[in-house]
Amino acid sequence: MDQLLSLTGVVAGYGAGDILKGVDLAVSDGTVTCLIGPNGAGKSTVLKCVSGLIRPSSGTVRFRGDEISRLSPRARLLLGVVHVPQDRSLFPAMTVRDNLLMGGYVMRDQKAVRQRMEEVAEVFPICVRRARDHAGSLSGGEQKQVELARTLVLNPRLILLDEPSIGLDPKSRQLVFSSIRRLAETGRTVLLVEQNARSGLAASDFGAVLEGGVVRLAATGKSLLDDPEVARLYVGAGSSSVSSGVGAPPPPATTDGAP
Amino acid sequence: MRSIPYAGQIRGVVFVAALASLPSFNLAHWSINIAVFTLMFAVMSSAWNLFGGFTGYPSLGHAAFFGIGAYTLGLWFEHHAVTTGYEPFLMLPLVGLFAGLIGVVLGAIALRTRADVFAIVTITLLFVVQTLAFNLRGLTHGAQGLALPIPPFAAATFERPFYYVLVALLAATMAITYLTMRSKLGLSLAAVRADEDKARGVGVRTLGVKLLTFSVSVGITAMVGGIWAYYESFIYPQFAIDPLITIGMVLMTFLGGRGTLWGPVIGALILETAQQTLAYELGGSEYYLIAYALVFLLVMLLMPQGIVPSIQSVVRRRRRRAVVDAPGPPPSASSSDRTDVLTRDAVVVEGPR
Repeated sequence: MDQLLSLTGVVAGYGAGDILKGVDLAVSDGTVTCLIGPNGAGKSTVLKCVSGLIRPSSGTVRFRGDEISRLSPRARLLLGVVHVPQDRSLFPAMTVRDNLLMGGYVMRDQKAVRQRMEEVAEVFPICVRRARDHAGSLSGGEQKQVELARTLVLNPRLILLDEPSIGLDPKSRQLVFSSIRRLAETGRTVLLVEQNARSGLAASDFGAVLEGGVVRLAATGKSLLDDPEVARLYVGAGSSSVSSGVGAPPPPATTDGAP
Repeated sequence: MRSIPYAGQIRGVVFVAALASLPSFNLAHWSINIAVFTLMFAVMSSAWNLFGGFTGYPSLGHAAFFGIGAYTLGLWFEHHAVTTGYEPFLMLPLVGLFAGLIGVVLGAIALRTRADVFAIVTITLLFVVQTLAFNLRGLTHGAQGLALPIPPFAAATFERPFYYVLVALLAATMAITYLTMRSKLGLSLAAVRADEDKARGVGVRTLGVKLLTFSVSVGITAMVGGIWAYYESFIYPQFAIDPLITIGMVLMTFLGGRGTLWGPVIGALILETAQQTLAYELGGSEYYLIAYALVFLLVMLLMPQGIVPSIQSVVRRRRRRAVVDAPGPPPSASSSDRTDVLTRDAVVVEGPR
């Protein structure tokens, strides 16, 4: 599998303090990768470094082999890197239709935007059913679906999802994770951050555990779910056995194979 | 840019034709005078709405640009003769351009603030310009006022040239508003109004779109200021740069419905006509102010969102009810899932609800 995104020794943070202390991570094309870890580990900061909302003080971020660490968020958007932040990113006072139009805002060809909207509507029919309703009148799960649909209008290569299931009821959560799988089926690469490690890893091809600003472990989603230490610390299953990966010095982190 | 629907074109042409035909009914001078002032406020409210209504930025400094327009025209014709009487009208685009450029400079500073801070900055700007008009006596003649050439029009039809120029300016302002609503710019402004930070996140150049609409908006306001100055033939700082002018624009826009095409025009038609007519009827007693306030309160009590959005939501509710009450099976999945609802031409921007 080709490598779409790679982070090497990324150090970044807010103000004087560094949150990320040398993150190494690789994401393969056409896969879903889930970042898990405790609060404050720097999961959202990794996404911000990739989308350009934060510039790393050292290290490199490569997208399709090209260094993008110094590019603006808009330039990265045009390259096909779309960030869906943790907070609701829709415009609640605008209709679903206008929110979709905003998804293709940076595209010059308005005909192409409309064509993309039609294609997206086939993947997310809610966009047609609720086209004229204000986004704020939709349920949390529906809003998340529209957010995901909006990211597709730009025909992105890489979608960064920050806690997509936060604040959702179980049914809506299920809807969101099945939507993420649908994104992967359409050939997109997804890098998601998720507190609900069980659901996140189950929906992902690969996973990585971030702790103290570095990637401690990276493996397939299934093997992380089966790892007793990961299960005990992040998934909530009881286990006393200690895994070789978590807590040990970081192995070369890659999500396109075994750790 | 989306194509303009046939019904919209017809509505626009009928409205402008109706306005243009009004003087041919040989109305009394005072009626045409009221119409001239009503049109001034209709243009200014539409101009204010173009920026304040669509971006949600509460500009209280537009009267400064009204004054800048008045003084620009006045100062120009202090040194240039008027022969046919139409020269000041021909100068209006330059007046608008000059004020628009000042708007770019001042907007670049003021538009870095938001909400109530922006309101305070713009109203401060208004008083700074007024103070300058009072104190730059060498230029503006200060409190003594500035005389403009008397328009050499026949007494029987004196108001008509002003009236027709204002109809043309209103048509142009509404056309600009309409085209903005149907363009990517309109979508950008709606996003700025909804959430400026999110708008920037999806790639909207927020400062650029705000500056563009602010400068166009104040440019049009300055053109009205120029027409007013020529119509009055004598201007004083306290009347040319009057906070009540801004308040009038804002009230009329909110009454009719901000962020809509027709709202500011309807607001101006109601409030300015009511104010002027009540002033004529009730004379110098100033009871007219009570009646004027009553008109405003009544409409705001019955239609708090403004007239046009209230009517739009009633129509929308009725349509929905009609679909639900319609006999026969509910709409099929194929019809409700048609993607043309996403892509067919429709007005993008709607007023906030």
